[in-house]
Amino acid sequence: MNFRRRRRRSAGGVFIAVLLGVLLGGGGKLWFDRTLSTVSGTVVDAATQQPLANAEVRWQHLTATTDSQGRFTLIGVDRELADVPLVLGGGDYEQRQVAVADASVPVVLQPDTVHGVITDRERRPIARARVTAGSATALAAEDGSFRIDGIAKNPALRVVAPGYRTVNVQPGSRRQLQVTLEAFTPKGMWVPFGALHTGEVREGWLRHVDRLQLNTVVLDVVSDRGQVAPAVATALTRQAGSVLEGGDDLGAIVKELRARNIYVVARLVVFKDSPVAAAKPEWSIRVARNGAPYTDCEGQRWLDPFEPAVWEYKLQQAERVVELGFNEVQFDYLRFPSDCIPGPLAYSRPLTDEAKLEAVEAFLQRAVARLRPKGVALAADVFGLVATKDDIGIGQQLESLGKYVDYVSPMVYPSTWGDGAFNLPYPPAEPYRVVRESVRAAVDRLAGSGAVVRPWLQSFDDYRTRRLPYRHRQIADQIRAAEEAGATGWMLWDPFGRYPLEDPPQLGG
Amino acid sequence: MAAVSEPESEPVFDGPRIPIEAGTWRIIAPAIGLEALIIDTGLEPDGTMEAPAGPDEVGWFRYGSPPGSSGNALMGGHVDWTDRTTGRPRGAVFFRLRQLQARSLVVFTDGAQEYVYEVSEKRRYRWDDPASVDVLQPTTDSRLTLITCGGAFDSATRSYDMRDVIIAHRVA
Repeated sequence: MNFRRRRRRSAGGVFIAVLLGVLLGGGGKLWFDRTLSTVSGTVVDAATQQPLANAEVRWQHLTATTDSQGRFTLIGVDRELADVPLVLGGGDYEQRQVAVADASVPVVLQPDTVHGVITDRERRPIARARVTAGSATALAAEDGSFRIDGIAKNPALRVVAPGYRTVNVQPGSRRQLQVTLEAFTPKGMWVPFGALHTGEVREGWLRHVDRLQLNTVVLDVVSDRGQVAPAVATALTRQAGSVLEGGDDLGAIVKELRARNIYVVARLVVFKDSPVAAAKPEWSIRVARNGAPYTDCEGQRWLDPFEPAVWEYKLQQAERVVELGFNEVQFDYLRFPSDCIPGPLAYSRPLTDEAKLEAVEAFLQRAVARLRPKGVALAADVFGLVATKDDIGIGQQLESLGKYVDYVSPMVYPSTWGDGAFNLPYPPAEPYRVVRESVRAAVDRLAGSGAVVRPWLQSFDDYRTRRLPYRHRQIADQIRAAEEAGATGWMLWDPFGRYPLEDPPQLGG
Repeated sequence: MAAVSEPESEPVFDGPRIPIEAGTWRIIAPAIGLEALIIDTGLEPDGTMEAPAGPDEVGWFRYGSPPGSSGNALMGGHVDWTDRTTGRPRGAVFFRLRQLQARSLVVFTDGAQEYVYEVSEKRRYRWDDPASVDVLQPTTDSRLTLITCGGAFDSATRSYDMRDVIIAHRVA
């Protein structure tokens, strides 16, 4: 026993003992072969059922590598240490532990790694595509190559890249994949909550799909009034009374739309959530002067973007959205308030411009960690002004967002701009120019970030002084401008969820 | 667009001769970002349909029916264009016309009113296919027939070998 204790402390001692065993024992017949012996076995690739060469086998400090027949031999294993297993695999295979006594049975190892190259149909590499398998994730390099580990338990891969259709890949026994993605330009329209739940309105909306050649729909799951679809409800939203009635079949609608090859986006409003801000005053933004809840120009309360409990609540909503089968989670109001601010506001942390950006990034970091493994795309809506200006004091900066999301969607509405912007006397009269300049600026700023620009376009009448009608012509102009400026798709925003010149849909009560 | 073809039988053009009020007629197809001024065109000296002189306008053939009324309103536009100063080619007004699909929206406006059409048919003819004359014939329904060049470019004749045709029927 003394000998073994010493040996365990000293690798050199073992080496000597093994050497002695080999030299003196030959077949292992000498006095110390009771404790040290030779262990042999074979390793098999689970996917091919063939012997696995070059697999690593370890016991304590001893190592061996399988030969071309998958065989290995470890010399100097102490069989009395029954609780110390052999460790097999690693590298491109799962790691398994096997009792020394079981080593004579072939050890089957699951491949654990897939290497691959992601290209488009013309074989051009797609950089920064995201590959997920269970909780494992990988990011493709500039040349489109990727390596993903830890997939033994979840061999199905999902590949998400902005501007391409998401694909699911079953590697089977293949360890080297060539993944081809089909280019996809999301062209969509926002549809208000509940609009797809009534047959007539749904048919009307589906007609737009044909008429405008749309392939994308944006559905509200958490509105800018904090109302949530029943499928996204939690105890907190029920307590806050913000769960909408009806629309229990959201999952079925998503499924139906996806069956029609429509890309389904969930719009999830983040920090503007009046009902929950009222139910959870400790999470809300307050007026520093008197401690009263801050309300924006629409009378809506906001949640504190610094509060980790708020992030958690919103991420739980997002996770429910993903379970419903949406292709993408689009965060809106992912920012600090901008209007009707009555003086300094009180947050849980001191307010600086840097802190605002950090708060938004901290939320997105968690969103990436929690949602990406589920194989959804992520998007952020931003003010149109953010495209051409640096952060405007609301915690939105394109470069910062581009690190986390797939799609950045500036609301490039020409009516946002005051006279003289873009050197135009009245910007809403020049939708083509405003959209082209805004999108071009955003595309330039996000180049190389992995995120692409997919703007929201103005599909509502001008609300500034001249109140210009926005009809087919203005919308066609914006679409052309966005496409010419390098956007990857676009979305039409109409507060009534219709399209100009159509009768507003009757949102049945 | 160049000449559509030399028809074996001359189509009958008996639509009303309505002059375009300058700068008011436009054609719009939001799905492909098309939004263009319509100008008045007639016949080339050789009797073929006249193509618009510039890349960014759509020519309405004045011997067809006027858009917005019943009958067949014929319009042509270039698919691409070589800039005379730089020598560089670029897309012209009907560059993406072929991307229109069945039921896509096409809107004609005379400046006062909008007339809504939906694409019902896409056709492609060889430039000299006698059957292409079909799309030029008068109709009793209200339709737009949009014509542009397609296929392969023959640098000797400086013309494409195909003609792409989109037919859209009025719905509102």
